[in-house]
Amino acid sequence: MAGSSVAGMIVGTVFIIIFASATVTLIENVNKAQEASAVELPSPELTLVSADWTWSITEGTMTYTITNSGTETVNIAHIYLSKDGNDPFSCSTLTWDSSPAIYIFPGETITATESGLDAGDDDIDDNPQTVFLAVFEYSLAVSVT
Amino acid sequence: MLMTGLIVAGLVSAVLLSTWDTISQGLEDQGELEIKDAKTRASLISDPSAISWDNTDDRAFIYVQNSGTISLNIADTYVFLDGNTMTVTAIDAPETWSKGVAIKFQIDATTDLTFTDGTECLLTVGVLSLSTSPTGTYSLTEVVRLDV
Repeated sequence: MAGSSVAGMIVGTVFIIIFASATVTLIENVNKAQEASAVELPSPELTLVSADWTWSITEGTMTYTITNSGTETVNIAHIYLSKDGNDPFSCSTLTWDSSPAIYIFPGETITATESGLDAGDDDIDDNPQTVFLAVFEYSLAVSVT
Repeated sequence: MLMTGLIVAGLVSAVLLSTWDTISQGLEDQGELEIKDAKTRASLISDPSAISWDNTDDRAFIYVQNSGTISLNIADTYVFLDGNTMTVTAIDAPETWSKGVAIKFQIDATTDLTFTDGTECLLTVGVLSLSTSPTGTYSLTEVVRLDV
């Protein structure tokens, strides 16, 4: 009889410990699940207002106008442009109208110029038709005007 | 009687505690993995409407940007094009593939692949986090149009 009582106490105590541990673990896992869903990934939103091609005697020039239409400040180095499916290049390689242009703040519009594009040669920079912009998981394309 | 009861209770308790410890550890690992996966992201920044494909070399080049919040493992990047396993080689890659950095990858087919111009197919890119224990994973699949 005494043995059964002691054994019952031991098992009961263990159950209490397990229940307590389960509760603690449950709370920790709920917190972790919230942490996982709360991970903030970059979600920029830009508008490529225009991509204008101009030609001046010997060389072509492309002028890009980009507006930050989202709520995040975007590092220009993270924005990539490509013309007609060719190799993307970072916007940090362009000359911007504001200097130093490192970030585009929400609501801000900046303009960049890419000069020295030779329309006389039949190379990939000739009279591009489409410009594709990509930054993180956001992308868009516009026709060159 | 007392000894028997104590022994049985001890054994039962040991089994229960051990089982609970295993379950608890599994839940903890799963939670950490979910967080790591959530931080691991990549995106294709090449124009998907014009991915150049070379039928002679069975080769294409793509640019992938780290769009997550942790560094990625360059060497473990994998690519499938139209269901075919591709050999992936990073070109002029930096030492660390940190957030926002884009890397050019040369992707070569392991078998002869011939596409016609304008072929639209699925491109899958998979990335792994640089840090392990646990390793975050992410894969993206996009329809791309091949420019042959």
